[in-house]
Amino acid sequence: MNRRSFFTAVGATAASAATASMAQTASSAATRAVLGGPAGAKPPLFQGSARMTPLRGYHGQDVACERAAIEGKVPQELRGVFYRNGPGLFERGAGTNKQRYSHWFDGDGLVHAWRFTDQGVSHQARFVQTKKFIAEQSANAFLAPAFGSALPAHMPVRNSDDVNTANTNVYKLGDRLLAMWEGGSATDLDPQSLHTRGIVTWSPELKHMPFSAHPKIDPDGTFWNFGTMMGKMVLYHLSPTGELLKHAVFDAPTGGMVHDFAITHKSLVFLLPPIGIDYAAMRKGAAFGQALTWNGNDSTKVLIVDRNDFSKRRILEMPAFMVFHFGNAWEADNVIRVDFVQSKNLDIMSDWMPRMMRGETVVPDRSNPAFVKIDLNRGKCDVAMRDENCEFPRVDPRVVGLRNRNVYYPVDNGDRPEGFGFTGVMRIDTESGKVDRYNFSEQVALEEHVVVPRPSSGREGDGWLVGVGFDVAAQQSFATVFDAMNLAAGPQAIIRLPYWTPVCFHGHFHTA
Amino acid sequence: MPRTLLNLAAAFTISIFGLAASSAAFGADLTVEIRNAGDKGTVMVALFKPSDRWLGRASMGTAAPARNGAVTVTFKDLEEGEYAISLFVDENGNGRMDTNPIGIPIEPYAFSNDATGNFGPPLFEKAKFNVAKENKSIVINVK
Repeated sequence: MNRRSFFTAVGATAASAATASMAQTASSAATRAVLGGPAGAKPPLFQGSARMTPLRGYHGQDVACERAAIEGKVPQELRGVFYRNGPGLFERGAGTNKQRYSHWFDGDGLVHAWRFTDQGVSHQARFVQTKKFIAEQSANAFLAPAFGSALPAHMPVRNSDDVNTANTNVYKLGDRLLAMWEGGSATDLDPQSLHTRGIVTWSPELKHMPFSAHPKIDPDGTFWNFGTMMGKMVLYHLSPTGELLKHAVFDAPTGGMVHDFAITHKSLVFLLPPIGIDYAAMRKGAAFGQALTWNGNDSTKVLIVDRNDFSKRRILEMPAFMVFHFGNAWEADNVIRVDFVQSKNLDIMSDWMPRMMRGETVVPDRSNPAFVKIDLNRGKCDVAMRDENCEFPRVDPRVVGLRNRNVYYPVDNGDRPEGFGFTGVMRIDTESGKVDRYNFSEQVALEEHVVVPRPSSGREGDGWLVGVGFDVAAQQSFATVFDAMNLAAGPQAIIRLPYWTPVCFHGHFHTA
Repeated sequence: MPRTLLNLAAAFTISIFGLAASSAAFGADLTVEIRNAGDKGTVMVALFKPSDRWLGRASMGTAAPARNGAVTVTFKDLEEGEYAISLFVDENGNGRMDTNPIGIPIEPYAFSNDATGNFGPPLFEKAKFNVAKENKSIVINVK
């Protein structure tokens, strides 16, 4: 199939409509197999549009496809496992007891493995068997309080790992596949079977400490992470095989929620938005996510920590803005450059996501590429923004913490009819300012795309951009493969599953 | 997350080691079967009355080696009235309930009625039970 026909295949076509019924069948069969009874006997609680099908979630079943249909050609050198993670279950109960989470972040972690081998591409997804998931699956009811849904505790909540959903990101560190959440421990999975082994405690005194879902990894595999909770911040420095090399705990400069950070070869860099916690609201029963407040008159704080000595910390300030995700940072001549995706405030999380989870077709606030220059000599920060509406920035893993030229994003073409899911992919050349971009049709909802280096090549961008998406017409999930330096040429391969999967947040491609 | 969690560990330490002497005599015996406390260290059990500061200073306390399955402790000669129990498993034998640097307990703990809080200890009201003239047995599940 040539590239032009991919475009057609992924758009709304008669051929896609024919496969849609097949996808339904495959999906229902998988559901039945696990629940042991007829699926779909009751109408789904979630009445979202066809575009939002992945937000229905699964019912706790694992799925697998031994050989996905490949359109185009998967490059011979592209071998390895593309692990992804996202909230996969949003509804429990039956009849009048049926419940649905009110926030996307609440769903139980479903870890995916797309395996690229000489035999083709396979897909497997398994729910992380967290303490909470096991108990709730058995009770067929939500028992634990959730991040954004105000639910009473019907099981003991002794620490944050009792409500840990392990649903945000996944990375293979040594022989452990870490399913990461934000408020508690990472969960260790078997990288081959995706079987859950249990929560990870890096040292006895750090048991149940928050371990964010956005670690940053040096090109040599050195692993940096952080956590925030109850006014404290913890930093982790781990070896490429997962030994704790050092850590520090200190008072967080801001209270509420910190999602991601960036590293340079010398520093850890945090942009801490002015998010507070309304404890009174929590005492009245609000969920943690509902009790977060946006203090727009405060500053966004810039925290810079010496990688070699976590006690050396410096704080600068910028006008308030919100950031979820960073692309990269690098440092030269006492100037740190950081790129990230900026939004105005918390509305995307606090307002849009709950509405989306109710099935409303509403367009979220914009979020745009932003680039900040932190002049350490002058103590000044300058920020520049672009217009594109995007999220989930990623860079080539060979340049993390080093001077990079390219940042990759899924992007909105401006033609999303119903708010949910991106429709294109984009590479911004940060030196020339030029954009390399490919637009699918509006019948596609794209997720994060990651750069996979060509083996034995050290050149930034030499490799592929690999991501996943949802074909609305076919009601199928698919993976994409692009030439990372020529997105405009269109995908080299589209790899289709015979079913849809819930939407993921983040993942990593581990080359073979 | 309520700040009360931060004080939980301190409360346990006080409640076990700052015990007031029991003055009751010829009352009922209370047998507490503690299940699933693991097999490491000591189960430290504190018994509170409504007049005690809940999780502050307990009326009585006792301890027993942790054992897989069940551990049983007994409080003797209790006056009639309401009581509540908090316990933790001192796995490393340092005499206090250890927490991580954020203040979250990292040793197992539980309350009577298997009462739970939401990111913190339950209220006395949720953990309370009544002791009359007759001897009484209760079960607490740690995990």
